[in-house]
Amino acid sequence: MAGAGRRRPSRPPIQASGRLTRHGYRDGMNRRARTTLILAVVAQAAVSVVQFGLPAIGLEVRSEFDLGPAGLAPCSPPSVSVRRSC
Amino acid sequence: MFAAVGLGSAIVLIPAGILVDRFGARPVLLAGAALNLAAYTAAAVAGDVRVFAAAIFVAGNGSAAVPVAGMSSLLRAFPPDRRGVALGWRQLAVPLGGTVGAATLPLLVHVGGVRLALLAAAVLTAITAGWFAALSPAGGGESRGLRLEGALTAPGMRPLLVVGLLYVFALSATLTYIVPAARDAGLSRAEAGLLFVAVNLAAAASRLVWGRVADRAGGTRRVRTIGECGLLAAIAGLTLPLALHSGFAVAAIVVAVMAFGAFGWNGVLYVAAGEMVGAERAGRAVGVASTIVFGCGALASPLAGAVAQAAGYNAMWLCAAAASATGAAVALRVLPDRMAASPAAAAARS
Repeated sequence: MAGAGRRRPSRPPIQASGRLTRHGYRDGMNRRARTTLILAVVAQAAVSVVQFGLPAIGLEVRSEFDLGPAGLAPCSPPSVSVRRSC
Repeated sequence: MFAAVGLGSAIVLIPAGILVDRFGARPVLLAGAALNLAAYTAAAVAGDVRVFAAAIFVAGNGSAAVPVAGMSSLLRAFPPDRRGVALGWRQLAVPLGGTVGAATLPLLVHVGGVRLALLAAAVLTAITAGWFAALSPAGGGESRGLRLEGALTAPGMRPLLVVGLLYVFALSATLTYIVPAARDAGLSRAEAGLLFVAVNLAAAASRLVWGRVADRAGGTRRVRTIGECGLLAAIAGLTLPLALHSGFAVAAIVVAVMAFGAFGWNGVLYVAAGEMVGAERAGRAVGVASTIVFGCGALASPLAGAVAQAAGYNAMWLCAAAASATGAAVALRVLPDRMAASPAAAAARS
């Protein structure tokens, strides 16, 4: 049975308290975990819209409050990106 | 002034983590959403700049609930061999949201002024955080105390934070100075812009790829993966001075490799931190780790700039390589022994 020797060993389908149901990476998530992931991503993206998008309206805010450049923290695009990545 | 949002968020990441561990994600998310809504509404109607700055600082306080509750919920919801990629997706949401904000907030200002932009932002963050709270699994609340309870002293935690502190230099240097460094090396404005795009694309991909690599072998490759990220960044940092002077194609490849190494470790580091201290203190752990990464990231950028100004961009890339290599050495030499001594890490991966 030469062919049997070359057969790939099967992976254990269940590894953590019945959560994993199939072999595929995506299929391994249960519904609750997937929902939590989607919600975490959407909520984080919404927070980041304001937190890191706010400098994009810096000029308008400056004119709203009649501020000079020193009234704003230095928010050049690269430093904004640094904060985003963290 | 806009630093107030980030500062307001950064200073309450650890308290938010403690509250998530004590009371669960749901009440903390709801309280954060309410605070956010009230503070952005106050900022929208503020007639004085000091009131505006104070309001967006408080809004930042409310925003801190989302990353901490999100990361700790994912650590609880996913088995060890899925956590890395789950946190990778979450990390990806940070620049994604920033990009959406940079595109949409000016449009909202155009339609209805700063007031409309801030009110829309307030509603968006409140709805999504409230939705997250409503559908997030009841959990957490296992920890009774309101202190750090060993989140800093757990075996491996301090060296892990040192690794994050060292790695963030290459990350900040790449994001902040790749464009001026490319221009300084003789590349055109368009080519330098394309390098910045390459950095962002590679950074996005790296979070998912490294997360998946860290999930292999039942999630036992966290530390090794963090070390490999640093080694890749160190090699790319050593070659960048030459690559940037070797034409656009070579520069693009090496810059992409640099970004792949310098950006992919965040999510894996948060997973490792959560596993080191255990599920019941995961909120504290990710609060501590994200405070270090966030705070050091803010400091690393001007530090890298000072090196570039004093000794040139080549010296800055070499410093980035040295910091990454040192971090990788800590990750590969010190962390495995400490994690082996951590009962919480072993339990978290079982």
